Amino acid sequence: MEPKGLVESFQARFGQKIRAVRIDEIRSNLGIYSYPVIWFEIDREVLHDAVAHLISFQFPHLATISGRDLGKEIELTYHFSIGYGQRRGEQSVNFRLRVPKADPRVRSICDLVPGALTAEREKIEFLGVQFEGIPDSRNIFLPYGMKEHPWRKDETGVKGAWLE
Amino acid sequence: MVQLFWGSVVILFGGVILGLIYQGVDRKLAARMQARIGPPIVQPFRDIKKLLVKENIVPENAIPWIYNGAPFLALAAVVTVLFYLPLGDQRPLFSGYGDLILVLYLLALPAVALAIGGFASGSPYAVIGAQREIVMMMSYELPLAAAIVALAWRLDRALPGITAFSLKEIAAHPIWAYLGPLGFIGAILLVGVLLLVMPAELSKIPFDIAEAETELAGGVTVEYSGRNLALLRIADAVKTVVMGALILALFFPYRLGGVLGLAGAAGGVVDTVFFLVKLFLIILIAVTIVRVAAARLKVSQVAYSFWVPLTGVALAGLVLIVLDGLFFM
Amino acid sequence: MARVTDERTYYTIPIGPTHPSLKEPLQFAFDLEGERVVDVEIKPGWNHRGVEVLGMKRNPLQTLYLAERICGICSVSHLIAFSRAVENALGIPVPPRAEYIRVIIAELERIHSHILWAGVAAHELGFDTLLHLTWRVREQVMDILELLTGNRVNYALVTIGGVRRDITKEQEPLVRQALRYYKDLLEMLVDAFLHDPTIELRTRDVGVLSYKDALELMAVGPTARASGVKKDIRVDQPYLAYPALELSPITPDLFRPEIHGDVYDKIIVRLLEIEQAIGLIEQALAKMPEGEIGHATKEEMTELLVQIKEREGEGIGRHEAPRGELFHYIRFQADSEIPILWKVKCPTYSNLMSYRPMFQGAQIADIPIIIACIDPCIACMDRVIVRRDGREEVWTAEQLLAKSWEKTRRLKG
Repeated sequence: MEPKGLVESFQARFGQKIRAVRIDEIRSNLGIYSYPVIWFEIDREVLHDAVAHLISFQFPHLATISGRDLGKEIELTYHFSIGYGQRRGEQSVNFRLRVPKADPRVRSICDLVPGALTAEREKIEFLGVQFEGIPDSRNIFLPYGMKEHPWRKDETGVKGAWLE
Repeated sequence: MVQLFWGSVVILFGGVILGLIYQGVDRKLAARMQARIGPPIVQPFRDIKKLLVKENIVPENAIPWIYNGAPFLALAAVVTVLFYLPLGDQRPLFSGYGDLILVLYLLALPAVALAIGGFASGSPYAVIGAQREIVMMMSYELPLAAAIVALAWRLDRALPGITAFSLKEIAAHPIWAYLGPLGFIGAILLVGVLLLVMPAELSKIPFDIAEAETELAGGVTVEYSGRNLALLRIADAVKTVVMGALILALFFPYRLGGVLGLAGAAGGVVDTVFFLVKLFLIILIAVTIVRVAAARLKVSQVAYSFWVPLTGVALAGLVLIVLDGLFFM
Repeated sequence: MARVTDERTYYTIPIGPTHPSLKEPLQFAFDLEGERVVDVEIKPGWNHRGVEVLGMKRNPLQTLYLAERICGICSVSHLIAFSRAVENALGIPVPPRAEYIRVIIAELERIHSHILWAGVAAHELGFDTLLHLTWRVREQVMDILELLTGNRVNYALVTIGGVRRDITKEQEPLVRQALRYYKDLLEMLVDAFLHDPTIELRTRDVGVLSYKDALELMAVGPTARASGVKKDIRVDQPYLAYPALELSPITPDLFRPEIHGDVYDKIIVRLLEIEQAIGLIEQALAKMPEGEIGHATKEEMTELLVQIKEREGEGIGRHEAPRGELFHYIRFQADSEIPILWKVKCPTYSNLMSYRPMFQGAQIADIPIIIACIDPCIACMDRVIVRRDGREEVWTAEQLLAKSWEKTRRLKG
């Protein structure tokens, strides 16, 4: 799948819901090869469908979900790649979306990609994002029951019993 | 009576010291085979000394009297077996008070004690270890019993009139002299069976599933500490000597003193040294080399291999010896 | 701790955060029915130190040292992935010779990591003889790493835009000699691991991860390849000098006819990857061009820092670490050399999900080897600083340092 074709297919399917697209061409320093890295900025409503659309090409590999606090919003980036298994065939596909802090809900993709569970649980505890339909929403790296979200910039620190 | 008392004292301490020395040698040799330097040979003594001064912790949800009693029972049982075994040039101390069947029962006792102690210590690891200990015991008892019964029966057949289940008599009449070709093959099979039963009886790799460090963190002994653990360690060391001496008494009771024409004290010394060398060889073959050369098996695999192939071999040995007894007299 | 559900009694045994079969803290709670595992709950995080947040308070040249210390075993992997993320984000070129040197160090690390794993696996099976054997032969590659970089672990070799030390003409024969040593040894290792009856009994059909599970649960590295999922970034999306080298993903069907996805297959994959790594280093040594190795002088470092400050961008650095895909993502704003986002994802993070299907129906005895079979690196997953202590003798830190300098000098001849 050519990166251009992939992008056009997404644009045809989701139209204005895809806000921006960028294709980076990463060149090997030996000068004999390059691979594409595609960045999509999408609305949070279409994330689930976008992943389903990606699965229709090849079952993607999800490296992780990265996230950061922008103040009023939280930005999430889903780092997928497809085309693995073929020599020099892999291309990275990233979906970026924003959720307002007042209503930090995103639809969970665990029903499509079961392996996303660890990454989603990590975003719940560290950034306070809520994933709808996630099979297990407990903390993973932080102790069970800890309510603070360490990666939020307005977080002031843990209180009370956790410090003992 | 006085002789019996002092004899018991000598055998008790002698057995413990011998057991610990052999354990030290075993650890050193295993280390050398694994390209390590290994601990000094006196290390087991140091371990025991350290354990004896350490606090004896009884877990909160243990049953204290069973938990504390089990190590004593284990040690008492193995030391008692020692009294029935011919050691060196000595005839057994308690000969006339019991026979091979009693020894079999006493041998089972430490494992039972360990399992009871494990169940009583109230830790899930120890409970699983204790269950495994019981499974192990059920696995190796039948091949062990088959080997011993076959031997005693054949001896009785060859020399009617002696008490064939007495270890003194078995040691006085090495079995190999009375066997025909079939019996010879059978006896070799039984030696092999006993050499495999020995590491299982001693809970050594590949049969150390009841303790299994990487799985159960010590299994039955996980909660034991201080004096109790020291007693269990000593019982383990003595048991090594007991198992070795038992196999020697059954199959290789030969002495050098008589062959060299030595009598009295000189003969005694030579016999004792020869016995120690034999014991070392048995432990080397059945414990050290096996535990260096194998991975730990699973409990289901141990149960299978003892119940099916090993019991089969033991019964084949038994049948061959019976046939030998019936047709080659 | 008995618990009755559905009229059956399950025992729950906790394994970890500290347990003899775990080398690093990770907690499992197993529900058992007799000796059989019914369910498992996994709780990582006992080592979490928030390294990423620390990295968002430093400039990338300072973070290099932090990234390297995320994990002791795969330290150069973290450094390669981190440097590549920064280089991709800001468009910093790397000289070809440096790319080859990175490949050589990465593959040497793969050799030492896989041999180390083999020893740990043998120990979990109760086969300590193989543990001592493998860890002894591992010293050879540690010595070569020390010869090339000056350190046994945390090599401090890779930097943004290149490497810090060259491989000299005098060092090449010593590397080749070590490779020959491992080539001869490999046959013995394969024999000791794959033809040993007790190891076969303990690892065949144990900890099976099906192709479907491996794919859907995002397994990476040898764990995925042992189940037949051909994910290998060195082939799929080649980087460093890998596009110029011959390699293909290792799957267990190279050794036995079918892929089972069990622990035995994982041993096959790792042992064959040692062989592959030897081949890759030989190719790299043969093809390595002469030339620059990247930024080295103080002025050049300052220049680099200025570039980092001026430019903006985001980049992904992926590296096929010994345990699987290592992923670093970094994002810079203009006029700041401090990244606004740094995300590290290491192989164990991805492989964690694979534990559950592997434990289904396993026996207690299988637990340690299944835990070990993905080669978990908790330090990586929890992102912590691992410190390696010296021997607990009366050596002071200065004496130890002097000793290690002495040894490095001895290695250099």
